Amino acid sequence: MKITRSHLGLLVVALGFIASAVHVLRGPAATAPTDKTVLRIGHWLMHAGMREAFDEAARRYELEHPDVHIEQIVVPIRSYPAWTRTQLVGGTAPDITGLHTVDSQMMARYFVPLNDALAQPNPYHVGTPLEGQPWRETFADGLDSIRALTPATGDIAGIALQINTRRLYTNLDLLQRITGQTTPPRTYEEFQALGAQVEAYNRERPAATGITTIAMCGPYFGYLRESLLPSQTQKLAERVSPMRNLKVDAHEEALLILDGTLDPRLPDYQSSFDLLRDVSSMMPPGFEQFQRDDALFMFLQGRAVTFIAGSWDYGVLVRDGPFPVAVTRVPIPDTDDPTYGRFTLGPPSEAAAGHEAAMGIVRHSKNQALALDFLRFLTKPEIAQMFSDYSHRVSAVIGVKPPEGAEELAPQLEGATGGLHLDALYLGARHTMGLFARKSHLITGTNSSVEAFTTAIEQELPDNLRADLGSFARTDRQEVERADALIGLRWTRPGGPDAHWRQTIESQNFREVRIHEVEQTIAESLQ
Amino acid sequence: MKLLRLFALPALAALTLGLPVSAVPDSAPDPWEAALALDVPTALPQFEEAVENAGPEDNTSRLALASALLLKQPRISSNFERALRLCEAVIARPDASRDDAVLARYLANRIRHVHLTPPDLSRVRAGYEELLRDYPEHPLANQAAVKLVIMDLYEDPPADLATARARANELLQVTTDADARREIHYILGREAWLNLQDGPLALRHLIAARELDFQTLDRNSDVDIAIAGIAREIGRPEIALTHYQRFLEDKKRDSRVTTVRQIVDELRTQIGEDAP
Repeated sequence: MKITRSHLGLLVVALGFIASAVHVLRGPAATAPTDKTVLRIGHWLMHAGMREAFDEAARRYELEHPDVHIEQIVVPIRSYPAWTRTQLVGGTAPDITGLHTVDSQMMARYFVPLNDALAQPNPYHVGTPLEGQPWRETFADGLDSIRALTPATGDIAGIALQINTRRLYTNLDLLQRITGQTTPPRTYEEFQALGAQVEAYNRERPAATGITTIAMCGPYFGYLRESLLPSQTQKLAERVSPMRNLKVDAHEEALLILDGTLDPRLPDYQSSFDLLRDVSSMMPPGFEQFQRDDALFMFLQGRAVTFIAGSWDYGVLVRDGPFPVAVTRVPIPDTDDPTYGRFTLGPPSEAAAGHEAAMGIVRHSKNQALALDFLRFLTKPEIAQMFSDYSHRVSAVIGVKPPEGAEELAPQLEGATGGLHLDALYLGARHTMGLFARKSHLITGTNSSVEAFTTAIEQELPDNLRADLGSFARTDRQEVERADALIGLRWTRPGGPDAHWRQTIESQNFREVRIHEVEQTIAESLQ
Repeated sequence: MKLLRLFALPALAALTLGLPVSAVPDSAPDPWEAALALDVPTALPQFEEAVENAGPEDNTSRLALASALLLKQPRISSNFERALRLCEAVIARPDASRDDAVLARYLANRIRHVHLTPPDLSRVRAGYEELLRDYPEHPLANQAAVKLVIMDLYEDPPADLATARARANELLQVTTDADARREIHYILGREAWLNLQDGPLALRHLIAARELDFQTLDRNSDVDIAIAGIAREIGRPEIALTHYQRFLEDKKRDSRVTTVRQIVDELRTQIGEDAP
């Protein structure tokens, strides 16, 4: 065969492909020490500080366990969902895999329940204030948010290293220029006063680019809504809690609206809309079209005095902010507020704040015991502190100090019970949340009107709630069907049934009753 | 083609050599472990093979396959009908063990009730009643009583709900398993509160349920705080205090803890009890 120039080109390409394939497929295993047990940890946490924190934790663990080598695999967040699924299905996922966008079925199928380990003290807590406490109790939210990821089994199949809160960031230089003060607003009254001062400042300088009180964007406005609306419905929630357990779940609120117990025109709900309108009047026009980076740049460029954002944004602000930043809780009306105080019970507890950096152990891992030990090690207070210091994020471990200079990033565990949202937060297929998002321009625009907003949502609310409840009940029904199979499997297992079949049937019975309650109310609301 | 041959073999060899060891399964996983982890594609062929090779006395393999078929996707009636036939084959065998006989009848009834649509509710009801009558001491058979209570109160109620409640109380009398009794008490307590607004009756059932201990995570504390709230509302501060305190002992990390502590202080003042 005559070798031509084009053949040589193809040969080079092919050799390149082969070399790349070998490199990719052999991957880190090729560089791993052969005489050590290799523990792999995969996650999406690429932001500054996290990789370094994992590396440092691995280094310290390897010092204590010279026969172990820990490898970190970091995957960009955009490709992480696809990567995780591929790795889990293929049985090649790292021993410890991050739980970003992992749904309940994947959790049940691919991750090891940690219930037993969480009920026991963490050996790495010996000699610390957490010694002797069940591991679960050493997390700020008791891992309730992780448990919510596996409603079918009721298991907890992971832990969270960090916790997210929502905070008010204030540009202290700009604040001083406008108000002459360097103390950020802490009460709702002070926040409103700041809004008025910013308006006056802008009026005095008509030729200059206007300053905004709050930098905001569409996605973060949704988070803010979750903080503001419940402040006006805390007392209402206590009154109508169906089982008098000091809470109203989203599906319960939807049922109470459909059966006529609750109504968007109740003074408590109306007050929550008023509050939303008042706060949004301090935001730039059209903010709902903005994305997170738009709002962030507005704040970093000194065009907004404050920025209501997540604790996860703090790292960017301290690194890139050319001005000192104060961190405080988002000021919401307290009980003594002349306008809004009558409906509130005061600042709510943040014990149920959202989790971050959640990690689980995959079922196919050959090093499950080691993986569990490393997860325990990661929640040792000194390691958790190191993560917090490196990443400027808030540790989920009780007693770990927040990043230096940002003590108020930490969740306030003491506080009142939460209120209602009316937008049936995250219920079912989220039709009701979509309705609120579509109509929120009526309450936030320059010609905002609580009446127009109320009229618009009350017409479409029942259909949207029924759709969400229908979806919620279908999910419950799938879990009920699945439970029958699991009970059968547990009873046929060699060695006889273990106690888990009793837990499965208990959850199943609860769901069956709930399905009937939901379907009955939906049917009655249509009569 | 020549070029393809020139490069394909080395490429294939390189890919094979490069495969990480973890991608090659070293042994077949336990089918029960796989199925319980919802990995049906791994479990089902093993259960199928076990049934194929099973002797007529191997009822357990048939029931395991029937259970796994309920998980198989897509969820189509032919899978459920086959699972039902497997259960019926076990029911027909007089030499089946007590556990296999109960499970076969329970699963068959559940398939008719929940998986095959529309359900023949009168047949389902009769199936649960027979199971409970024939095996009154068996824990799984006792769960048939719970399903009957749910049918009576919600799914297939008689004309008068008072009849359903009376029937549920009769079932409570014949139920021997503590878990099944707890479930019936809870359902009756919940229904008494939500539908009848009968606080004392709801409390009686909910407290009885709580004393029998729930098995799932956090359920005891969920029920404690509900008992306390209802007791507080109907003027039973001692009961409220006891169950709020139990809630605080169980749930240290909960957004309701501060409020519950405040209520506990108020209740102590109300009934003149000193703080510990």
